[in-house]
Amino acid sequence: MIEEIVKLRNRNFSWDQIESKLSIPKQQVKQKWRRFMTEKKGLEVKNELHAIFLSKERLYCRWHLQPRLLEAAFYCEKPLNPEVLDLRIFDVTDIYFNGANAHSVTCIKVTKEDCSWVIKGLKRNRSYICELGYLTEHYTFWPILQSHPVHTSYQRNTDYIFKLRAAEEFYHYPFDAPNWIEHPDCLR
Amino acid sequence: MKVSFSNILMADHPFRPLALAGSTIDSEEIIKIMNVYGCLLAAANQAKPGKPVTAVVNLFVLGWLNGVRGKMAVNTFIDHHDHHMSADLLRSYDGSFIQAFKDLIHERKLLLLPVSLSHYPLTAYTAKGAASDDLKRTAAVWKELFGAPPASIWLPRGAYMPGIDELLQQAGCQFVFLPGDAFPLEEEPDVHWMSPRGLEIFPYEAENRQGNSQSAVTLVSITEENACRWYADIDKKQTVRECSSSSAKRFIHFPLAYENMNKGQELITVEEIQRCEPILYLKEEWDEKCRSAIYEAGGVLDLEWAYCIYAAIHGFEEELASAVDSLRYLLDGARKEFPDLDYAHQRMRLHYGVTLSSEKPVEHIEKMEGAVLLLTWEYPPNIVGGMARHVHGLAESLVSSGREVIVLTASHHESPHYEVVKGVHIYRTGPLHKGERDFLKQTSDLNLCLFQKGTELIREYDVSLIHTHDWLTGDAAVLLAEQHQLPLVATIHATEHGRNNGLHNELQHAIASKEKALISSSDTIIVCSQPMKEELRVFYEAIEKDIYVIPNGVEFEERVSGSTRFSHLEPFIFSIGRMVFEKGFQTFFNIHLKSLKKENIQFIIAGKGPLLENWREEVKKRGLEDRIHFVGYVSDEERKALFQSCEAAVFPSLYEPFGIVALEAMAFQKPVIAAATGGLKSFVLHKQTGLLFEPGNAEDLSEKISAILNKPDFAKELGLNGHEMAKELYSWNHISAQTEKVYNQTVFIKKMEGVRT
Repeated sequence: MIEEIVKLRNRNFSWDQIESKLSIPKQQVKQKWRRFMTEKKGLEVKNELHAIFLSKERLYCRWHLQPRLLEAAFYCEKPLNPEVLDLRIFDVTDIYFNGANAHSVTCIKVTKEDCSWVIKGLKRNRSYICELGYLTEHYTFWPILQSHPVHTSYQRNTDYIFKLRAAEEFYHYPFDAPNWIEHPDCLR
Repeated sequence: MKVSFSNILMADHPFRPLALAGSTIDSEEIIKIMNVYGCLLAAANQAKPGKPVTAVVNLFVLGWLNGVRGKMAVNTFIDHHDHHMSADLLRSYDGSFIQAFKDLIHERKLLLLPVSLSHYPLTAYTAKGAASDDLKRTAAVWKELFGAPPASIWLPRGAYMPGIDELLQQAGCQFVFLPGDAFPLEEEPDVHWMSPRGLEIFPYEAENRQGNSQSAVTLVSITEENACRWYADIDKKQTVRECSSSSAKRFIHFPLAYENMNKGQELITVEEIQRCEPILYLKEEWDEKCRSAIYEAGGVLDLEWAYCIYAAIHGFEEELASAVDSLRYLLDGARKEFPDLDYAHQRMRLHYGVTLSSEKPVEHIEKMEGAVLLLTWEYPPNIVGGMARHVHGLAESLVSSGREVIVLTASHHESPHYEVVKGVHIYRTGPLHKGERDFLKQTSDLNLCLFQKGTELIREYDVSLIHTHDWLTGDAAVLLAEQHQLPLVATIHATEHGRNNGLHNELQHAIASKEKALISSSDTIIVCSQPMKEELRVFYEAIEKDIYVIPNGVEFEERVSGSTRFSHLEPFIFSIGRMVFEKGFQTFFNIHLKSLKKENIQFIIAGKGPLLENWREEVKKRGLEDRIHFVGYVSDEERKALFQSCEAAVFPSLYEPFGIVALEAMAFQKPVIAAATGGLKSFVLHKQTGLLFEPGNAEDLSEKISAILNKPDFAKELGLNGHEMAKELYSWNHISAQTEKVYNQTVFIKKMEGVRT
């Protein structure tokens, strides 16, 4: 029943038209539609990977990975071991990260059931991006989720001097995106 | 910035509403809050203009102090603690901390800043937009309390990363305090720091730091223990370090900062994040639609959520559980488009002390112009039921808010056909045959007269909307609206179905069909309670209608006629509610009747419900027939008379989200004894506006009943205080403001319909 309602709704039928077409009261049609939409919403939990500073040298990675997405990924690229995922931390300081140009990378094996990990020993004044993926049959890393980039704090508080020029320029000409990493809520 | 800072006082006493609920004047929690915030007030009052005391405060506490409850608690406190450092000052502000703070800010003796509402480090939010929303919400609450955005918002744990400067600017902030750790203060002591977006930055350090502090500002945490000590040597502390105007401006960018970062301290722990995480995700469970389903109290969801995070990050388990319950309850209702508005309002006005109404408008709705024509079959001095008072209160309150109001009602032998009372134009006409015995016929007669007069009035006045009350004037209203293409609002006070618990005869059916006709022709319906909305939807096929709940609140009536079928039972304790387990009436069975001084005291418990017969039998089994009376259904009149003549009203609920009925008892100036649960706890302030007892504990209840019966003066005082609170909560101004919103909405929708056709 709901399939038909959805079909008709998608074809821009009005409630009245659906009522007469399927001969069920408008109220019921609406109710069914509403229930369907809420359920659908429940399914749309986001797949995401977050990286949050616990301290200046530790990062908390937290991910939500829908089994469906993982299945889809496995369909595209067969995993070496479907039970094991790879959490990777790339040092992306001062580069546009393209997957192949990171200064360094750290790999952490996690299980399919894990959903968070604490990464320790971050270096000072470096940019990092985390990715969650797995090794394919061909022993290559295949990413599924990517985090927002983060930048660790300076080594010394006088290090601000390195970005002083950029900060001044941004103040006087704030139309270009700043050339440093910002809070994810700051849309650019 | 014109002011220079020396010390910032951090009033970081936590907000624990459960500790405050049911608190007495001597309870620790109130004393702590009064010490911390009173100290702040007294200190600022001593400050010299231009050298303000700078303080960071908790917005939840401030909101609570601004709410009905908080003000009352403060007033009672200063009455009993005459020598408290802030007592005199607060007395001159009628117990309003906010007003006192406002004036001190205006005199430049105080610079007050909020911590961002949830106290959650802004760098640690996982949900997109949550940090930005937190700051915006903080600014909105602040704006409602103080009329302007905050000069700055304190960042929890000093956590900062680039971009937060922009979020702060969006929230209206001019500067920010950041941990001194991130600045080369020793190398460059005399620098005026700016973020790349031009937000001024003041580095601060915590008080306990060893050695010479280089930062301009020291953070002093004031807790209730040191508040008084701190206040004693305020002069010493208040040495203001002048910030020389010649100091160099320097832009600074750094990737991350938080308090004690360089000491290796953690910003947040995994446990803290995991504790907050489920709460953060709750936010995804509602959208604009849910918010607008709660109508003008839509901000309540965000506030509840913000408090959940606050409680989670501080590890207040009980508070968290109760706040999550509250949020879930509201959300559940909103999702079904059936929110408990009473409860939402109560949370906003009692608990959070703000309305956040400005957040609501999803679409811009113009204010309705012109006059409103109110149709009612009775209007003072012609008073038969409650409607006359309702329309009277509404009309006068609408006039005082600037609306032109014309009341059209039945003629009354003592009153003129036209008069103006307090700005309300009152016209009286019909019916022609007052002696007609057929009630329906007489009503039709009246309606035709009202219709004729109404047509005249619409020609004469600039009427924009017709508002009728109940079916009695429904026909005239429907006809007038149709003929003149005017929007029609109907307030349904009661229904025939509800009055008679079903429809049993021809007259009742006829009336119900008139009610249905009115409902279907009205553009908007107003009802006074949530159950009534439900009733209309179920029994009156009004699912499609816009039905707004505007709590009628409690009526502040003069005395109703005293004698009822229960008069012979006096003196008695009264209780009323549905006969279901959660209402807790079973508690009565175990009270110590013998220990009650007034041995002949009776207990009248009114209401219908599935357990009524069981409980009646239980009474028989225990041989308490001459003491406890489950009287079943009582009419409105009887209920009022019972409230009026009882010694005290008892509400033993085990679960009670709102408990408006207790407010009703308060309106009758009766002492209320309530179980310390949910909604009841929030306005029954122990020993102030009533007494609280442990839910289900009969012994405790007996003690509280004795206390009331043995101390009539005390009982009277509780009754009067309760009356004040009820009045404050349900003023006509509040009701008329909500009604105005419904008018605007209705006119707006009607216009849109016009566009469509």
